[in-house]
Amino acid sequence: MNTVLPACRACNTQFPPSHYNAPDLLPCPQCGTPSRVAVFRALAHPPVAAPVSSATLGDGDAGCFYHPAKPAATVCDGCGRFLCALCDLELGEQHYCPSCLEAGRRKRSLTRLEPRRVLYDNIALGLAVVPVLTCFLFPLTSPVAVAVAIWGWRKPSSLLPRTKARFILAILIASAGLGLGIAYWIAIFNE
Amino acid sequence: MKTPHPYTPLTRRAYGPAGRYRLYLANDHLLHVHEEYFVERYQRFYFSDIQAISFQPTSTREIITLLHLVALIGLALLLAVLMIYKAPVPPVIFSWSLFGVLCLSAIANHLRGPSCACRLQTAVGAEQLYAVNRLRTAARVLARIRPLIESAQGPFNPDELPESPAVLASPVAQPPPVPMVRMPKHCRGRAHWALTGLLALDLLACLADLYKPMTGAVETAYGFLMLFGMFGVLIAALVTQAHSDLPNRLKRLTYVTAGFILFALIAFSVIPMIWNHVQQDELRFWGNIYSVLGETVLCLAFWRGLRGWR
Repeated sequence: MNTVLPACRACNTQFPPSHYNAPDLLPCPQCGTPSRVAVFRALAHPPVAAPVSSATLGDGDAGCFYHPAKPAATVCDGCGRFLCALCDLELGEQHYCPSCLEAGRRKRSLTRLEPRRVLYDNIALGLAVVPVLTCFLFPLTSPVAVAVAIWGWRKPSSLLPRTKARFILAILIASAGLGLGIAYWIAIFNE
Repeated sequence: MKTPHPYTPLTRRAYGPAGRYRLYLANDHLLHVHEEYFVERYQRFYFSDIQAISFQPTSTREIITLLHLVALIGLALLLAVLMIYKAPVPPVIFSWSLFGVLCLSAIANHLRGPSCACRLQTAVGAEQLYAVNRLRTAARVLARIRPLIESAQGPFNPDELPESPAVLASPVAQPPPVPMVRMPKHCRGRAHWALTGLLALDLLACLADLYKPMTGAVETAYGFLMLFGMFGVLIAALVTQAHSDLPNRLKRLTYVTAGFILFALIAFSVIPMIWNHVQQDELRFWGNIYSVLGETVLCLAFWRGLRGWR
């Protein structure tokens, strides 16, 4: 993989090495925009494709589970199988075999592979609060808000620290809104 | 014993082009979280993959200050009008509260220091970290993560860079780094067509109402149906256009329509309920004029944008 050197955001001119890891903002040599660039070792050592080992299995060597003729390079952190360099899939500091990675993605057991999460508590709270602004949608959104809150209670929530407070708040507001809405409509019809 | 959470916040929530952003620190990576209210999207940058982090000052702080000033001047004028015409107390209190909140927000924006754009580069491409939008925050984040990156990769030695002295010696423009973007999904704009249809229908109804006002059950039924229909279609349009290939001007137009409908709802339905001093006939007339003019413009804009779109 070719090395792409860090460039100025304004003019896309690459920064000279004298800018690398400077403690202060320095002007871009082309457009003069002040910039600070922190460069790390990975820039000089971009990742290379996994070498396809041509070595054959010797006596006493452990073989790859998927390629028995190839010597094992590591162990899968998911299932413990021996893996050759080709089958080793690195995820941060952990190593996985292709099937564990695929299973983790499908079953959502590997949170590191998840690109998104739906926030059911926010959906319930939104449905509970919107009628407060519009005054008209209580009969429609309040039951839906309670249903979403109950349904989403045990669903996986955000990856980040988060309590169930929004669910509780949504149920309370929706219930109150529903009660008030019903009372309002009864009063209207009685008139 | 309670286990510590794997993610520690590195920055406060920051507003970016499409929602809120926040940066978290884990034991071996950075997590850039994009909050879209109902969905959180995650980008992970492993310490062993980070090649460079750069940040440059932007004029965002000055623009925000300018917007605050414009809003404050507008509110001051509104307050003056309310005082002169001896408006009831609730709107005055509301306007003063808004004025105070805006003042505090402007001061906070100033105190947070100069704004910046931060880019993180890996072998795959460069990505802007919207969560890091102030120079002070950027310096603090860099000081915090630099030792972690260096412990994962080892210290940087400039001599290890690929030999290309001609390129390095003179500043030469290079092709932009490839941003790590998802492939947008295709949106046919059916919800937008439906929204255009509803706007056109309401436009005709408003014209008819100007000629001969609706009354009784017809008015109530039409109002409720239009309200539910408009909200439903608007939500469908907003959901389908998110991360789609729909042109940006159409996406912006949907947000403008949402603002247009909400303003109409608040100005011509909610405020008259609170403030009884409004002349209902006059308000109805101006509401119809607002709807006719606004919906004509929106219908034409949607029709122009959607005409050739499949």
